Amino acid sequence: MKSYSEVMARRGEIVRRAVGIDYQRFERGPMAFDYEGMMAETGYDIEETRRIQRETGVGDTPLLELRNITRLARATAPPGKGARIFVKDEAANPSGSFKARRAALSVYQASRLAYPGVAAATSGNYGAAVASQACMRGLGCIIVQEVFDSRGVGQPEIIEKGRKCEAYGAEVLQLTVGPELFYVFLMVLEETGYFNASLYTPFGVAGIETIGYELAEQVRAREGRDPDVVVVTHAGGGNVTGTARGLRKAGCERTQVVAASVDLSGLHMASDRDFNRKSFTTGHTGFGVPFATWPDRADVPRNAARPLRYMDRYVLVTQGEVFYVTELLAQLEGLERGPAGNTSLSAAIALARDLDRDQIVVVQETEYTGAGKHPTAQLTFARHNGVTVRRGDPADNVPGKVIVIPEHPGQLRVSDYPLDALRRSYIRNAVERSGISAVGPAEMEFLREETRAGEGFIRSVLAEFGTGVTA
Amino acid sequence: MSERRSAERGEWVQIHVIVLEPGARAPQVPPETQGVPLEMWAKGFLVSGRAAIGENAEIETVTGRRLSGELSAVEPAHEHGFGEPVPELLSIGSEARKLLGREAYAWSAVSSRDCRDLDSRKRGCRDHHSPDGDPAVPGAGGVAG
Repeated sequence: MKSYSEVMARRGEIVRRAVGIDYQRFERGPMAFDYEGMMAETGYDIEETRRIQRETGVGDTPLLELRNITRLARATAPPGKGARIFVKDEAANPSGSFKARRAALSVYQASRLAYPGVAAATSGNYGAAVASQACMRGLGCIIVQEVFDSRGVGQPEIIEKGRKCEAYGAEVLQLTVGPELFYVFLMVLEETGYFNASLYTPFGVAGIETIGYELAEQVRAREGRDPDVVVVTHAGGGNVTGTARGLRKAGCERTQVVAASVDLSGLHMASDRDFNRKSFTTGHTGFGVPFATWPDRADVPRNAARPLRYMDRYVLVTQGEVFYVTELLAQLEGLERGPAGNTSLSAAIALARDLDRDQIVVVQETEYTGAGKHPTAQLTFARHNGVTVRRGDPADNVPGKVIVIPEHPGQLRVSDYPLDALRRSYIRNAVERSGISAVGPAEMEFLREETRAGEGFIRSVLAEFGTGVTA
Repeated sequence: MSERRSAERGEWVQIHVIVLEPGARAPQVPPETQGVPLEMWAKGFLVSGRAAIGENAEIETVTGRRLSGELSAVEPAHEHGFGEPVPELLSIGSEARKLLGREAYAWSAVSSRDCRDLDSRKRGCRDHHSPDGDPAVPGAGGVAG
């Protein structure tokens, strides 16, 4: 087998061949790049995207009003408060999640460019989405997953996602914990000549724009107004980025985009020990924070998912709250979905309480549920791995140690992760990675676009890190 | 998992490969991960001759690739399931319905009287999970874990 360092040294060349995009031509100096140029030239517009997705039965998912959950939110809200909560039932996509939208464009692109197959490094629903789209378009498919700790114990949620990939005829490589998954993935790309169906190419992100666009159309058609708040489960940033871009393309200027993650602070994502002490494998801060503060850590040179450009607010919820809400969704609304995709629903209930009754909150996804990928499976697994599960106040949640299932819907809350903290961290990363000692006008403009912060804020952060500003 | 200890050519098997030994791991991984190997499992049809668990075996995967490693399972099964009943979840539905009361279903075509009947029927078959007090009152519902 080729050594780690030898393969990683050739990563640029391997990735370039495997995505068919020359990222270099969008670079604008040591820090900045032309993001919108990249999205426009290498992606697809909304109408093309819809056409491609409809070819394989993706999209046009129902928008459902959660009447009983809305009533429950109102029962715990101040008088006159409690917005109507809707959910876009993305589980209705082939492969059972919104990830089919991302995969649809990637696999279409691979087919158009005559790649013999597609590969993706993912432990999530995206694997099944790529596998499903690949079999529809007659391409080979390999999915590389991080599944087990060194005892060979696997997260039930990931094992199920691997099974689903196999069901669609994909080859699944199951790995133990560690970022060297990328090394294995690069070797697969090099050996097979497959297309890298990365979550983070312009295709992987443009595919999500149709969620925002469709939900805007659906809310307008039904209610004659725009949604007030759209809540998006946030991990790698594609969901926030694509949904918000779709909303903008639909002309929803005043709709607030709220990103929501499960709080797993304190757990190290590359730790063999911590790996099985978390009960969510996606939608959590272990991805949400690093991908917001430095998107270009992905498997392509420039990440098309840039969530800080789009989130109006970033809120955290706890694992116990999401399991509780998953149960409410099944028992009050007759929809057995999730659990990870219900992170945004948990946040939406708390957010709806602060809004007026005539306002509209849209939860923009659901995902299929099944063996392994279910509250009882995940909580049984947590218990077997030494995590305490009990009823109580979710404020007492301790990631990796205690999962607290609320006793009352009034205990569902969100805690705001300050956007300025994310922006500060982003600016520090951008300066460090670029190696520049002073920020010029082009870099300043780029930092403003990337963080949506004012120049005064950016200047104060740069001063704190001893970076100068020219002109 | 199948109890079989050996496989014949052509059978569906799983192999195990050590991808990186401890010490050869990426520099950025934490110490507890540095100390263990990076391992990989793959499934396919056995193309080398008869092999026993632990012996070297070559497989052809569903994409037609040939991979070699140690035979780790013969006819590997998916054994994940729905876990055990979780007492902390069992009463959530009935608690929420009780909080909503019968007006919860007033939006539907069912009359309020039917709603009440429906609601009480649902409660009737569920309340035995939480016999201790009113589950709608914070602190009273569920079973401590």
